[in-house]
Amino acid sequence: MMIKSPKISAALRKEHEGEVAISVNGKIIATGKTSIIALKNAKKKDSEIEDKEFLISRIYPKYIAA
Amino acid sequence: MKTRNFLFPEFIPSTLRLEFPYVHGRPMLTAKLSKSKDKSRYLEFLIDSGSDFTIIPKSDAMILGIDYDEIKSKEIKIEAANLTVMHCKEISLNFEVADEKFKIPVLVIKEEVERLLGRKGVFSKFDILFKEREGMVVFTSH
Repeated sequence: MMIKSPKISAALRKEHEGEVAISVNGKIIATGKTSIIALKNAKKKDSEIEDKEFLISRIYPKYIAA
Repeated sequence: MKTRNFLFPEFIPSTLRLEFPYVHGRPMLTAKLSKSKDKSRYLEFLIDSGSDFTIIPKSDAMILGIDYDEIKSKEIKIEAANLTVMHCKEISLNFEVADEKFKIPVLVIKEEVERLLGRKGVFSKFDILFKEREGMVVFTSH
């Protein structure tokens, strides 16, 4: 089974650009500067998040270069 | 050869072909990474053919139950594309994507970095085709 990537709106990107997002079923639960902070913030909103299948992704800027 | 779209898995053919649509216009891949069975997490990687190794930041490793200081391998320095020098330790992790499971070497970076899916352990298992016009990456097993 594959997990859904969250949709990132322009407004969300503007506000949280470069941050880590924790999402469940394509819906962002929380964000943070690092995945640890994002997960901590997600736990505040959903205490059972660790028992669920969540995705750790990044809110990318519009353009990136490696 | 059978084609398998990850959204609609079919039976596994002898030569496996996995198609991953771009995410937000970029070649991304969501994979389950773990050190042990009880602590696996889904991470979204940017597929980077220019990166020798798959890299994750220390904070991701912590979520996988890995303490950077307790990784036994020696700390080494690596250079990013922007010439920044980063500190890291190598570890072998379980990598799971679309029912395919194997171990890959991963560099855990001390500094906060982008999650990248590099060549070692992955590109040797698959032929990887970037179909930019179609917005898709195709992994074909040997």
